[in-house]
Amino acid sequence: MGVLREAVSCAGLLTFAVTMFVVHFVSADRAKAESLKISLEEVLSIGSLEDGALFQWVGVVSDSQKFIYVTDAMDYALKKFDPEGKLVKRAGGKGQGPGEFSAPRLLDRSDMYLFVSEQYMPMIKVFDRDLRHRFDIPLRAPVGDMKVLADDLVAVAVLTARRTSAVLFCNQKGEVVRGLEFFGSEEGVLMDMVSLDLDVQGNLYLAYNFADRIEKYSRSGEKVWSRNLLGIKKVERKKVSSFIVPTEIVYKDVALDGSGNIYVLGGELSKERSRDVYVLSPDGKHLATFTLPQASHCIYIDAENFLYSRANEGITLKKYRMVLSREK
Amino acid sequence: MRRNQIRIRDVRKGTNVKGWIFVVLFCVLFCSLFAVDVHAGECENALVRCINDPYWHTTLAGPVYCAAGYLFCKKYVEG
Repeated sequence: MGVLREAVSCAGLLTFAVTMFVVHFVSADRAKAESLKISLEEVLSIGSLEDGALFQWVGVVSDSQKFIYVTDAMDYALKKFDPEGKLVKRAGGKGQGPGEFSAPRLLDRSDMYLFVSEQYMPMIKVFDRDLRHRFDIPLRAPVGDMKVLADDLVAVAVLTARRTSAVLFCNQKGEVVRGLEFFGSEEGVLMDMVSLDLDVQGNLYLAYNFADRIEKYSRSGEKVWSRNLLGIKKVERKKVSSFIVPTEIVYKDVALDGSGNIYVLGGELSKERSRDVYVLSPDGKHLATFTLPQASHCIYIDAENFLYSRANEGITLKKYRMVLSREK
Repeated sequence: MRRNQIRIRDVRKGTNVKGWIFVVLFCVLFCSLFAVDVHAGECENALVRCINDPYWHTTLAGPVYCAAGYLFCKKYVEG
């Protein structure tokens, strides 16, 4: 009787173990088999070889009324397009006077203002929504990347010759309110250049331009995680004049969507160079990779999760709807 | 005699055609490699020109601005 009872309990335990084993592997397999797929549907195209609306656009941002603002480097201009893509206003012109540009580049906005970086001047030019020049924010060094947080606060990754790099949070006067220092992966000119974005909690995301590294920092400046997606140990470097500079760009841009997911545009070491976009969750998990139809220098995601990128080498700006699906 | 001459001509014709194919293939290969090389160094060449530009020698931060231009070039033109 005792032996029978023991046998029954052993069989029960064995059945339980086998069931747990099967459940574990089936669920793990399902999780593995299901992956996120992102496809793009074009909803708007601005600029073509015929219309001359854009010549070499660089920065893009949209507002809550769906107007689209673009910096055009070759036209030395800041342009405003309506939601249908019709040019409604143009400002700027070549020069160094108020509201003029020598090399307009990055563009971002706050509730009231548009912020435009100049490549060869340590400043940010500020315009209102009607493209009237309001004031300039003086900086200590040229801007590598920037993110506007409020009318009176902008986060800037500046280009310096220092070993340690920093993201500076500046007010309208250009005074540094706070700074976050980070260390590049290696010593050398440009090795610590980053593209940046911030989420609503104030967490900072960095994508290194010349290293296979994506990082998240908390608002207080602590590193939360660091990822490398491409398995690249070292990028190629070349001696140019008296400097040794990296010659392969790893990541070109970083942007966040409404859910806090991180989109990183790969550079020339990606499988599809300047077209592959890597999507990471806020905790750094690689969720998906999708490919832009054409090579781009940047990506921008608006409040409604539309993605903007380049086409025709900068003559055309494309707006896409991102369609997310789970794939088995 | 005449038959032999014709054969020699045919053989020479064949040699010429092979030669031309070789030359054309060599040119195509060489030109394409050269084109790729020129494209790859576009930003480096621009950086050299910027560093050697007397305008940037007047300021201490000159190389930093050249680096800014190089970064833009790498993001926009190459890659």
